[in-house]
Amino acid sequence: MSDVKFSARAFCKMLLHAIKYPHCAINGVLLAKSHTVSTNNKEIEFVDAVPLFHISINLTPMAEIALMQIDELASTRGLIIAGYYAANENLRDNTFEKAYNRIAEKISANCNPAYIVVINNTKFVNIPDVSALKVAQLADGGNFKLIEEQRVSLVPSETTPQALMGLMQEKAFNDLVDFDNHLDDISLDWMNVQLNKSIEEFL
Amino acid sequence: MGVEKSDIEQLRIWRENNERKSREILDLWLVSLWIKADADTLGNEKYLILEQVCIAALDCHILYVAKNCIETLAKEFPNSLRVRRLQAMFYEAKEDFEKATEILDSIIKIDENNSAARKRKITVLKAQGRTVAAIKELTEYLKIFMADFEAWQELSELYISEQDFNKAAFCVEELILHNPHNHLLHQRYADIKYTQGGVENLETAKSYYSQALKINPKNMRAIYGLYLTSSALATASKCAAPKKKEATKLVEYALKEIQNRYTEADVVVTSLAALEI
Repeated sequence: MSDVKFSARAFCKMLLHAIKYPHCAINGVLLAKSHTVSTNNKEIEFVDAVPLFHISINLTPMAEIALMQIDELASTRGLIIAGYYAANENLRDNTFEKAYNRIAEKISANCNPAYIVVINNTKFVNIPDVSALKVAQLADGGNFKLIEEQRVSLVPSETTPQALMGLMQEKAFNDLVDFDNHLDDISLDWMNVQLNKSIEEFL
Repeated sequence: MGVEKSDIEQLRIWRENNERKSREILDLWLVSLWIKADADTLGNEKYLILEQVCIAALDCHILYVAKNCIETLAKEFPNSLRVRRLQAMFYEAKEDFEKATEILDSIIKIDENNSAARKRKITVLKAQGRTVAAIKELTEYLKIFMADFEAWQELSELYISEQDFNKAAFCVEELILHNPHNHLLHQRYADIKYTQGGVENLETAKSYYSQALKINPKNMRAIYGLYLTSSALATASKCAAPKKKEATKLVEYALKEIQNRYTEADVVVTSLAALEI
């Protein structure tokens, strides 16, 4: 079993994406430093997240385009797509089975070990922390190995939840750009450089 | 001191455009409007606004606001089915699905043609996670209300979530018949066909992406789709040689178009290099 860490950037962007579209299923990918993935099986840190879609997340063409572009950009920065995150449309539905789809399959084919994160819709009240996430390692054949909550942590652990609170009060979710937004208006930046800066300011 | 007119106007714009701006609607209401709700400041739109705010509040799960709205409306219109539907939605938000279904059934009993109540019954099933049952109800509904554009759209979404792409495609075909000039529908149809895969479906996807682009040259998804389908066809082993040649040309065309769009938008995207082979 391995430990899974999320940077403030990855954590905030995942949750802000879910908050921006409370009535939609959403998904996205998680990036890790490529050298840590290949050399170290005990621990993985997701340093960034790229929000993908909120309109019909089960159709593949635009996902292929997005993955190609993200992979290209990530590799120039020494990053690799190592995880998939999703929040289901139904509030009470927190299962990996529902969230698992062809994108997750593709990621696990390209990266080993790969992880899947489901946002625990009912768990993020008041101050959201790691319990808002359900994390599993993707095993062969679409099986999931649940990572216990004690092994999931945030970096930095103290200030990240507070940063998210601050961002929510500022309604920063309106500034978050996912790939669907980008396709509607290609001048919007799905790497969310501006939002990254505001996240830094809260830490 | 009157209410700022612009607030009411803003609400009207959102209402008429059918925009889901629940958070914004609720903010406007709580910050400036609710204190004045009893007076006549809201004018003859008062009850429309109350309904709008009620639905927004349910969407945000601020139940006490919704409850207040419903009470005011119920006092004014004690026998209204429209108000009763709001009550059903209130129980829906509280996840008391039994009570919600009971109210909706009573509405349908009085008014068989009440399509809104029938549709809410389907959403109750959906909220319970019973997608298959929701699909069944919705197909029954569409037998009666065949021209309900939104219902076909919802049915296609449900089929997509169940990975039943053939039936999802059928629903979008219906939608295209209703509205042949909507580029988004053509693009959606192509998306589904592409997801299904196989040379034949790819050919269909290619035509529909092209049609979407013809109707609206600004549809980025369609250009990207055209690129994907033609590059898949260009490398497919089952594809005949002359078609391959045509597909290769299309790949070049699509790539050039994509680059043009980004140049026009004046953004430098290094990640685009991923598309070049």
